[in-house]
Amino acid sequence: MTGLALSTLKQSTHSADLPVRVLSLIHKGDATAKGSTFGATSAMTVRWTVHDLLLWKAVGQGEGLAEYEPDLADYMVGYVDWLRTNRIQGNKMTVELVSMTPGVFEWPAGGGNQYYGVDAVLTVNEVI
Amino acid sequence: MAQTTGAFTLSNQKIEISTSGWPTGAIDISGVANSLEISGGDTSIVKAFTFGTGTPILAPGTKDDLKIKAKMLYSENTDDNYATIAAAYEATPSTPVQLRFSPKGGTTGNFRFTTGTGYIVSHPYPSGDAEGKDFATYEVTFDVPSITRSTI
Repeated sequence: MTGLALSTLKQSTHSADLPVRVLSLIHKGDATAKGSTFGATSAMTVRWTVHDLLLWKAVGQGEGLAEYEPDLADYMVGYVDWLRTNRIQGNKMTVELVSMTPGVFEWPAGGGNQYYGVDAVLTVNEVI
Repeated sequence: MAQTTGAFTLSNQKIEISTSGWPTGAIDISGVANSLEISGGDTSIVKAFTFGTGTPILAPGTKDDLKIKAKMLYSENTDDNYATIAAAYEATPSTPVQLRFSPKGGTTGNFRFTTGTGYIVSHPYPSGDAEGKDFATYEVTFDVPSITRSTI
């Protein structure tokens, strides 16, 4: 599945670009960090929330959600399968939680273009 | 009274242990220690009633021992001294240990609290869950007879 680098983000996404995934901190991402030891150079836990937004097809194309729903379900199943073997990255980073919501999403926010897709929200814990 | 300007957090606290006295045996564990909790040390009270009065006469007695529970990040780096702490517990009989901590960071002029010689009385083995939300940690409890305050 194609991913968009920040430098190639477009104001609108054309049909030829689809499907595409958008991972961006600006798209509702956040991070919290807390110190875990005494002293000036504390070990820390950082919790990242990252939205991984799949834009599958533009609303208005094809037969609509009924046509694309199996594709979106396959995507979500594949996502979970991938996580099964990649949830733990080394000893210091773990995908703690993933929630996926299929539906219709506007991209970019306020741009007026709507797409069928899946919004996967990953909570990633990293110890540094 | 004017509001204090001397309050601070414990983030910069310096904690050291020793199995061979101070200062030569000092091992700085601030970089792996996550929390320190002190309990015990209660003063016993001797109490007696006399005829003709409804209230007792009180006198202070001895002080109980103190328990210092330290939560630590589990690390297998040699410099993080897990093996030293674990060995002090595992030895039979247990290895005598001392602990000292300076809430403000351990620089000249700071207060420092030093324990008498005691022992690690709870196991130091790592425990936790598989969710990956936080560091692997372990807890040890030191049982010490006293704590003495001094100025560095």
